[in-house]
Amino acid sequence: MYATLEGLMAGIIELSWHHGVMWAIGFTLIYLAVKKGYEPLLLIPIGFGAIMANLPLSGAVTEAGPLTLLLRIGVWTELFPILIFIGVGAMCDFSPLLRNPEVMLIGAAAQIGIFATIIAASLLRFPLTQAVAIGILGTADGPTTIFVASLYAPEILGPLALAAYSYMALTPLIMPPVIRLLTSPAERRIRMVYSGGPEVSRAARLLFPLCVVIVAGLIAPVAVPLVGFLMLGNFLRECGVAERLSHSAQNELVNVVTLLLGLTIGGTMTAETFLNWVTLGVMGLGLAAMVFATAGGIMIAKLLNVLRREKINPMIGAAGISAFPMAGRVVAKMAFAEDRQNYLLMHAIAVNISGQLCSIVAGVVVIAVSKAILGL
Amino acid sequence: MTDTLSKAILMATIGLPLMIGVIGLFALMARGLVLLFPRDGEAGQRH
Repeated sequence: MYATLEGLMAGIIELSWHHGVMWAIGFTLIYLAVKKGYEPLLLIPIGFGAIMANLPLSGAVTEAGPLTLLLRIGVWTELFPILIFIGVGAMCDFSPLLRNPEVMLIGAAAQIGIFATIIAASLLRFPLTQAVAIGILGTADGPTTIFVASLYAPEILGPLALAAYSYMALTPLIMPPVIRLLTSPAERRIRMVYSGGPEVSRAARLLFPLCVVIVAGLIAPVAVPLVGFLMLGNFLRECGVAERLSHSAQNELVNVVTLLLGLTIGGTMTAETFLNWVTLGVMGLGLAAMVFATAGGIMIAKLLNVLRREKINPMIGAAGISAFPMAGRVVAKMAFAEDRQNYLLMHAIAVNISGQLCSIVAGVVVIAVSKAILGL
Repeated sequence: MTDTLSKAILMATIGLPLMIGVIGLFALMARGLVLLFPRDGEAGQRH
C-alpha cells in the first residue's frame, strides 16, 4: 500500500526548486507571447515544452518520449529548420534586391556582428564550436541559428533558440539606442527618394534562386540544404504554376514545423542543461551580437556616404539584420519621428530583405570556413 | 592568446572578406540577370 502511494506521489517527491525556476521561465515565455505578442507562434510552444520537460519524471522527455523523438528526428538531423526555410523562401520577394543589388552590401555589413560575437565568445572561453553557434545569433535569424547550432553545439540549442527569437522580438527596443548613439540628428533626417529601380522580369526572378543555389552549393556543399530549400520555396512562389505548393509552404508547412520545433526546443530546456552560466553567457552574447550587427550596418552606410554623391540615410544600415519586417519598420518609424516628411519604409524594407538573404549566406560562409579551415 | 581565440580571429579574417565577396557575387548576379532579362520574353535585349 505504502509503495503504491509512493509510486503515485513520485512526481511530487522528486520536485525541486530547479523545476520551479524552469516553470517560471516557461510561464514568462507564454506570458510574453500571449500578453505582449512577442513571437507567439514560437514562444508558446517553447514555453509549454519547457514546462512539460521540467515536470519530475516527465514522460515527454524519456528515452522514447515524444519530445526526445522530435529532437532526434527533427533537430539533430537539421530537418525542422530546413523545412522552415522552404516556407521562408516562399514568403520572400527578392524583387527589391534584384532592382537595387547594392543594398546587399549593407545587408552583408550587418553580418559583421557574427564574427565580432565569435571573437567575443572565444574571449569568454567558450569552446570554438559553441562560439561559432553563438556568433550566428548576429544574423538575427532563428532557423539559421538552429541549423548551425544543430551542427556544432546541440548541447546549447535551447538557450540559443531562445536568445534568437527573444532578441528578434525585442528588435524595437534594442535597435533605437544603438542607432541614436551612432548617428547624428542631421544624419537621421537625410531624405531618400525611392525610384523603384528597373523592372524585374519573370525570367530574372526565376533564374535568381537557381543561380544562388548553384553558386552557394559550389562554395559550400555542406550548406546546400540551407540555401537549396530556401530557394526552392522562392522558386515555388515565383514560378506561378505551383500556387498550391507555395501557399502550403507559407502556411501549413511553416505552421506545423514551427509548432514542432518550438515544442522540441522547449523540451531541451531541462533544469540540468539550462540553469547554468553558459545560458547566461549565451543570452548576454546574443544581445551583444544584435548590437554589433546593428552597428555594422550603420557604419557601412556611413562609409558609403563618404563615397557617394547622393547621400543615404545611415539608419537604413541598421535594417540589414534579418529580423523581418521589424528591423525595417523600426528604422522607418525613427526616420518619421525625426522628420514628418521622411518616408524611408521602402528603402529600409529593401535592406531588410537583403539582410534575410545575407544572413543565410553568412551562415553558409561560417559553416564553410569552420569546416575547411578549422576542421570543425 | 588562447588557441580558440586565435582560431576565432583567423575565422573572422578569412570569413568576413569571403562573405562580402560571396554577397558581392550575388549582387553582380542579380544585376546581370536584370540586365540580361529586362522584360518578359525579350531576353538579351536592352531598353
